[in-house]
Amino acid sequence: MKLEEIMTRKLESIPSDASVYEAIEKMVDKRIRSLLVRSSHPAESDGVVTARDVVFKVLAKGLHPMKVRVGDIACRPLRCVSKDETVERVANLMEQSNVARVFVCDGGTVVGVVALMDILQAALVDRARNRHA
Amino acid sequence: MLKKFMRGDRKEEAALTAMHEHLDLLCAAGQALSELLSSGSKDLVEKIFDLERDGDAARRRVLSIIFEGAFLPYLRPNLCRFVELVDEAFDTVEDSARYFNLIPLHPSIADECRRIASFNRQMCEILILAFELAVRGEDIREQVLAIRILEKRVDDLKGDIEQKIHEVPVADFWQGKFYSDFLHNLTTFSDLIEDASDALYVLTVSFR
Repeated sequence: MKLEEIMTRKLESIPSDASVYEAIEKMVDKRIRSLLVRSSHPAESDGVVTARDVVFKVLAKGLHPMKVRVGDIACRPLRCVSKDETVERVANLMEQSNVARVFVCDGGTVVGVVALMDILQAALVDRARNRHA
Repeated sequence: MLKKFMRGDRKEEAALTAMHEHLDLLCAAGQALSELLSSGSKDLVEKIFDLERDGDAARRRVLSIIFEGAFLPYLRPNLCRFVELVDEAFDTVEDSARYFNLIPLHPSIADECRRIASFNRQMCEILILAFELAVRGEDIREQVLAIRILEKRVDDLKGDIEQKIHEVPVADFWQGKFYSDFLHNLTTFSDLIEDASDALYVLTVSFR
């Protein structure tokens, strides 16, 4: 099964100059746990911020989420894979890198995201279709 | 397992064969709809209409065999419900094709619609597999779960379309209605397949 078939194409993003509080608002509104952080400056690269980053790097340290730039806590670089990549290889990559999601890129543009839940569901559907014992 | 509850004559065998044929026709129609949304070939609309007519004939055949006395009485309501749900799903494929023929599919939602049609086709294939397993008395839990997962994906895509639908220009009231009916039918198919798989699961559970 190809990543293209299971990836989420709707990407929620936030500029790196936005505050962590704005990121929290967006995550709560959209009921998601991560955001693509688009660089606001040429020197910065795109990254990803997750609920885990917000809790561990800001809230747990007693920092004010309105005073911290989301770009300062984002994880970089983005882990990008090709949309033609297989689900199995991406699952292995996620295990090796200990990440819960990878971005699907096409010619330098992020076109989708695949999370652990997508991999899990794809594996279950594949199993049901192929009747594994 | 279904065969275990037969009463020894050939009516059950004929009913199961007709039910399988009904599902095969549904799958063929789902495949044709998926191709229609990708290629836009209007010949496929006629093909889907023909398949729906054949599906209606298969449904009538199944129901008449059941009413003639196939299967133990306590199984008949659930079997009929399963057949009716498959037939309702058939109607949504036919109506999707009909309304697609009347609208220009807007590029902003075209990809989502094609992906829904592809998921619908996959769900149909899994339902056939579940039916075959149920007839042999095997567990269909994995197939039921896979259908639920795909149904959720269709629901997500439906949500994406609803957010973008305001960007789609409509010429008049009727074009708007046809758009609405097309999207309603395209996205209702997965609900009906999920219901059909649940009905099949209830049947298999009742055999235990």
